[in-house]
Amino acid sequence: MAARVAEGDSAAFRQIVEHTKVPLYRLALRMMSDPGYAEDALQESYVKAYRALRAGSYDGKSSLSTWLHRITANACIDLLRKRREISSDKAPEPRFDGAVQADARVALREVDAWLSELSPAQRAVVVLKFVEGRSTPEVAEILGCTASAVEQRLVRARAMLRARRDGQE
Amino acid sequence: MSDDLDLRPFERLRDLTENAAPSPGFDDAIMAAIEAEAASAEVAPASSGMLAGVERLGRRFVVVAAVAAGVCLWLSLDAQTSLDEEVIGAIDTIEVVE
Repeated sequence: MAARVAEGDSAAFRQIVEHTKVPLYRLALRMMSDPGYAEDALQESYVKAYRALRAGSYDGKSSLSTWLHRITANACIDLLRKRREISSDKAPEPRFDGAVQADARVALREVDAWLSELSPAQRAVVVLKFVEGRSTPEVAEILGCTASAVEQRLVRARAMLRARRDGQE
Repeated sequence: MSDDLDLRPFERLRDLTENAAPSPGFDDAIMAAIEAEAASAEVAPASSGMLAGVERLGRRFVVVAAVAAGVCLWLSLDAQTSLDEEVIGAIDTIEVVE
């Protein structure tokens, strides 16, 4: 499929989108805590993936799914960084224009508030590990870092979350 | 999990977003962005192709110029040698005549 896209077969890329959009959107939604921003990040991810496939940059060392998850996670991290730079003290207004039910929106707001003080990279590790339930090696492969780097980010994230919880009590 | 963090909010989020999906029309929006990307990529190679052609011609010109310079140098050295032989021959001839 990747080879067909490299040859310019856009129909093949559409098939990739159809097969991967649900898990990738889920990841983006859980990271961004906002359906609108999740779709923005995912759209940017697919465009980057298309460019890379056309340029022959996908080397096949990891599965296409893992590779796409990596692009999506990095796109979310970049977008989270931009949101932090733009927003001042309060979080930007959520854009609930996606197909997300009301209970999920409440859960998203709750987790977003809880994770707001983490860095985007720490947030990515927390979402992949605690929400998606992935193992440390899987998280490392998706984020393109070492397992020890994942563990370090988790240690810092846990410390910050505990401090926030203790400060609220 | 060895720490005492309450992970239930994460678990709740996982369960509630398990069936989340992009909005209708998302695929079409992606493909429209892809088609725009493909259209701009078709324009770019033409420009770079022209520039690449100029670069290739330039490299060939440098090689040809270097070869021509070498030939000219050889010809001039050869001509100088012939001239020297002519001059020496003329002097000998004059000396014999005298």
